Amino acid sequence: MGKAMITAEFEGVALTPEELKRFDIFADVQEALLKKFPGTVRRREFEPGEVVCRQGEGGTTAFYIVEGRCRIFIARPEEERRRGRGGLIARIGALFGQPRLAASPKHDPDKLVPIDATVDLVYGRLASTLGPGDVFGEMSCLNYAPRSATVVAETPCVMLEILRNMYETLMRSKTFKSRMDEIYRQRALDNHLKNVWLFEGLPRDTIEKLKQSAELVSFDAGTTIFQEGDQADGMYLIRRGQVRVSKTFPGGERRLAYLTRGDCFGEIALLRKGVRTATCVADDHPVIEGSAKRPPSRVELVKIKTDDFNAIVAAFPDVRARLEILAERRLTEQVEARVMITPTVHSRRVEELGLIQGQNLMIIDLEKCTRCDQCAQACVAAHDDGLSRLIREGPRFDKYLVPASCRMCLDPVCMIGCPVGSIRKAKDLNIVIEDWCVGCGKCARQCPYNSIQMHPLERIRKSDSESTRTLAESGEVIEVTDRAVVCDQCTDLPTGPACVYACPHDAAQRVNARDFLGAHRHPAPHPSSIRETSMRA
Amino acid sequence: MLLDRKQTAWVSFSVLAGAAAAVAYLFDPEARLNANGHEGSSWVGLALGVAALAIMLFCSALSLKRKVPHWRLGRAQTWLRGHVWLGLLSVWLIALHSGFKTGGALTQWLWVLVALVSVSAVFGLTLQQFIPRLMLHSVPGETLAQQIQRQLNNLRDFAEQTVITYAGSLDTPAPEWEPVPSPVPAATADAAAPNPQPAPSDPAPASAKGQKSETSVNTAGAEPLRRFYIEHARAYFAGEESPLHSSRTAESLFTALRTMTPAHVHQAVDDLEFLCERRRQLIRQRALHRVLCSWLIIHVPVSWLLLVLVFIHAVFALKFSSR
Repeated sequence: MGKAMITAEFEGVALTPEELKRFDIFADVQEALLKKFPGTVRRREFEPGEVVCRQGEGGTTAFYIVEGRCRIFIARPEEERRRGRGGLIARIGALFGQPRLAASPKHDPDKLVPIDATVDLVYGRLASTLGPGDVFGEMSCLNYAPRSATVVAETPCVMLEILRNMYETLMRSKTFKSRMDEIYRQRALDNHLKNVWLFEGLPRDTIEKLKQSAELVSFDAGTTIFQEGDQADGMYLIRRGQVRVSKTFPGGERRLAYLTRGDCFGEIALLRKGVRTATCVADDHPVIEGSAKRPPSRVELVKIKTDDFNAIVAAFPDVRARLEILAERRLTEQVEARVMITPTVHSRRVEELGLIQGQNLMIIDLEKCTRCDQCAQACVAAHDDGLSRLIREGPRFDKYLVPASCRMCLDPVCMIGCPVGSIRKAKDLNIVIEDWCVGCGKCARQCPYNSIQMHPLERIRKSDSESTRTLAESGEVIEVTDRAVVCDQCTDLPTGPACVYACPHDAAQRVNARDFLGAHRHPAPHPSSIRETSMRA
Repeated sequence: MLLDRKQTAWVSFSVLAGAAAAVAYLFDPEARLNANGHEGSSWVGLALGVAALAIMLFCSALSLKRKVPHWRLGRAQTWLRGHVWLGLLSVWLIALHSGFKTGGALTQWLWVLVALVSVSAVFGLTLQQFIPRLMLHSVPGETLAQQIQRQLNNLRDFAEQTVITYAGSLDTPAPEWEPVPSPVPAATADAAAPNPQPAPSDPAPASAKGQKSETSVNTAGAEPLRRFYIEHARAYFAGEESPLHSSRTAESLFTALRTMTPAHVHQAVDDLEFLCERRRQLIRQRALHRVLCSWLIIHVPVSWLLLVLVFIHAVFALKFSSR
């Protein structure tokens, strides 16, 4: 499942402090610091067509382009995916209004796809060009995040490959920082602002004005950006890193969301001219078992000041209307969250299995289940990629099996650290994986309940996409890679989850764990509940 | 399908429909005038036959519905309940339709097939009342039925690896053990620790995956383990005749093995015993699963054959009917 998180490749010619000083980005870095980390910057040369890094692979370095041009892109699965089951039956079903579910939702071509580079991509065109002065691989370097995109040299390229300690030194350099800020303002901020749902349709000059007035700020991981109840002083847009949104209820803290590059927060309080309704913390990536320990990273944000925000809201009624809708929705979510956080005491077994996390937990009554596998078959049949989101294996609780299927956790840790922001929580609390998933497997590794499966998929389009050709010419075509697949609760099916609908024995159920466990507070100890049953080969 | 209170509506409907059919049969005016009594060709008999045929078509449609489980054709539970209770009702309707007569060769065959379908269905329904519960209790390490063979192969490999880890090799005898008071070998300390539960998705005990070999190669005293594996366990894991098939015999054999081996080998004995128990459970699961599905071998093909013959019967009956 997935790939190794970290690759140890660090090739090329190591540069001496004297050689580094010749590059302007190192100009104001103290020589002592350059000497402190010898060999942490290497000069790399790439021929046209050569692959610098591949999406989904592990990486620990950032690249600074000195000369040349390269193409950065995300390869997406073919539009016509392999059909696992269906074919004729699926077509007949479609004729009679029995459609299958799309593996991933479709978006507008302008939808932002955040990547780990000084540019971002859009859904309609998952490719862009990087040139001298551009940087990519920052998050891999600082957070050991998997590579978010494939980079292929288009012309002969010279790059500096930089390890974390030197990159952090660089980030403290005023020259480098101001250059990065400038590039960000020029190349990415525009896209980010346009992709903020609230600012959709704003005139070009307003966006330009916002770009200039926006303040670029950064926070150390773990720092509270603002606390619930604080007076609002602006809204934020995430430039780099991750932000955790949480709210305190009488029963404890509830994590509402993990936001990533391109997401915005803090707008509700501005609209209401009041105080913050949730706490936002600069979040760090969780330490994956087996990976090296590392110091915390930083989160970089774009702050839109209250005055600018108010001016936009006053000038554009559309923006105000959208804000009202958003505010209403968030407040409803918070009320729902309050209901969910009601404190209850559960057995150690329930705690161990993390059942309480499940807002829509799938359980199978093993006294009724005849192991006919209709649930898993229905899951396959209901999705147009022919992949099952349900594995009928997992731990047992009392007479119930808790199969590996998304539980819609209260704290969706699977969302943490996706290098391309392709995993998100939908309005109905579902976890959705977008089709630009790069198959790094990070979400699958982070899910504590094995509910995200990595499936091999054909990655390269058969059409004559330029990026494909470039890769093919380099002789390094990746024909098959993985894609993360998670249960979508069949929300688009009027019948509800196909697994439950298709169970002929009334054995499969979807329950809210709190309600269900509340009703089964003291289940009789069952001999079979002593052991886990999962025996995946 | 468990027979519980949720079936009440279907049972009531079937009983009432059956009773209504019986009343219609008893008060069939044509039967009173006919010297042969009740016949399928009377209006009432025909209506009962058509109703039975409609139910049979509905019952057959269940297997087609299973091909498209997500289509909006009604919940699978409803279909199955209808299948069971209406299916039983259809037997009663067929009996009324035939006037409780066996008729000619074709109808006699039809009766045989109806009997086979009904008996297999009742048998299947009976199995479903207790086999899932039995599996729940007796196979805590249950896996997917399709994975059983693979799991069995894995267990065999893990067992062999466990013995090789502790005994060095299966081909050469392990050296004899001489007690050394100190220092305490790492393996002894391990042996004192409780047997860790395997993590989910991992049927192998820790030592079976080679971790042990990195820390300890103390093979002294493992000869009884090696011999035990060669004489009993290897055949057991290969699916051949072995005393380990019986859990009681296995328990006593493993107890005896523990007395013959030094403490640092006990972890391996525990692991091997665990793997044997795991295998026993998988074999039990396979057997129970086969029994649970056994009735389908008769029920499904015979049902289709019955349907074909019923159509032939209907065509012939209507063609040569005096009506």
